[in-house]
Amino acid sequence: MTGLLAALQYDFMQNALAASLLVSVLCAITGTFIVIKRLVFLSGGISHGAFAGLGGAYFLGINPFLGAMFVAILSAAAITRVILRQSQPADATIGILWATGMAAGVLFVSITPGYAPDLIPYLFGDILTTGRTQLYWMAGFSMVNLLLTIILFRQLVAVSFDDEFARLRGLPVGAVLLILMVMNSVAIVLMIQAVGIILVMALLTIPPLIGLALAAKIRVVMFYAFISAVLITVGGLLLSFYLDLPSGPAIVLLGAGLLMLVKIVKAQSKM
Amino acid sequence: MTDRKTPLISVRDVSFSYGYEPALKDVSLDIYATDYLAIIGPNGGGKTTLLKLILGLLKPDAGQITWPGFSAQHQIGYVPQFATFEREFPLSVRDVVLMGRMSGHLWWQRVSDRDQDLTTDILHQLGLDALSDKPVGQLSGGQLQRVMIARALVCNPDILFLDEPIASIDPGSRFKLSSMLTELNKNIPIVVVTHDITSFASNVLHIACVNRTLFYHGDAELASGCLDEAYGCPVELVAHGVPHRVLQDHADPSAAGCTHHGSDK
Repeated sequence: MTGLLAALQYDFMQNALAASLLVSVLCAITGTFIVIKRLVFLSGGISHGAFAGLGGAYFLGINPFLGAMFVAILSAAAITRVILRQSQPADATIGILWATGMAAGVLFVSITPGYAPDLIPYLFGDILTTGRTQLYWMAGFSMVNLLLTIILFRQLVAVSFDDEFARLRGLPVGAVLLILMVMNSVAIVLMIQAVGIILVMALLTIPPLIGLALAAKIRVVMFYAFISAVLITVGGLLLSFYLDLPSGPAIVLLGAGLLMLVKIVKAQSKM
Repeated sequence: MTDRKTPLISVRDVSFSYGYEPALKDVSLDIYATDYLAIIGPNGGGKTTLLKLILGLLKPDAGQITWPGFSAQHQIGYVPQFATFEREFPLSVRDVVLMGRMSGHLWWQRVSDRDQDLTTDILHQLGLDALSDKPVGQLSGGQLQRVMIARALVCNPDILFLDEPIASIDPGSRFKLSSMLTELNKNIPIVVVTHDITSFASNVLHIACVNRTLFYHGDAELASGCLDEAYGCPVELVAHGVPHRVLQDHADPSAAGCTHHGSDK
């Protein structure tokens, strides 16, 4: 605790801590829906596909995260269309999005004139470099996500649980699914800052899995997911600060360790 | 039959295919008030597809499906085939049944006191009181089946559809389910998709036999007459997956009264 307080003298640590808390809100809400509706692979597709937007924005000289956001929302809408029509298996579409997005992103960055940027922070995240503007974006979108989740909670759960039954109840399944997907893709892009494109899947899955191991009610699952997300992001942040480790991998490995611990303790207590 | 005039649901020359593989071809079928229709046929014969087309969950490639006998606010009860959702989903039995009370609004959807009361009632009727707070992931097959039925009934449906409702439950529960459906059928029409007619045979009023096309759509006389008479015979053969032959074979040797049913529908 004293370590944390000492570290908080620095501006960038305050930003990083705020970013951790916001990312934790996002992954508790979004991640739980992604895990229970089995959208993990799809989320991987969206996060990797978003790299095209990131590279494109970099090439055009605008904020890379806005580019990523634009592409992520667009691909979420496209995948929702595919899922609703089931004209082709969604996993093939996701695979194409995944690889094409990465290819386009790298291509854009390489043809951008001037000094070639370091791609590693985008791929593996660097929560310690979260800027003020970035933080405001995160706060704004997190609030929108949180509000939408509260207002639409029953509908989101019903559509995630059994979309055919929801449709028969007259629910606008397409609209609800689209909202869920767009919320997810926005959250994914915001989380890229913390853990990067490649590792975002870990942050989306580990805290909800810890929540699912500890609770059987969806709200409680989300609560535990939030708590564990705070533990691993802040913990990873401190490891990164004091041991000079890259923050993304530190967060992810800490999460994997915590998940394993929870599973072991749960298995022990059952015996 | 007295109520054969206006159908509640009318299926006209409906065809449907998944990609290039035709699943149903030129199927026509009517469902009437107080009907108890069993859609039977071999696995992969298109029974569930037909049900989903009727429910509007799938759109036909050709033909029409209309619900002329219902008002705009009609409530549909639907019990899906077993594993259509994730078993590990973090919801309690009560949460799931409450979904049957949801409406079509995109925005505010609160659980009202009336929703809670009706849910409590239906849980009680189906003997699920004790399981009310249990996570759905921890239920046995038969218990989950009852939860699905509770979810379908909690809206006081005007018609009830069940897709393979007995596939995953033990014989004792089958009998209970069958008598419960007979009781419900006094008030609402019931459509049940099954590959195993055994548990329903004594109660169904009509049979539609589907294997890519509609081979047979039988009247009430069959249920009360022929089917009752030769109870075991069609049951055996239906279970083996050649139902259209069943009815013809069955008509040949003994029950002459059945012949006209199977001949040219």
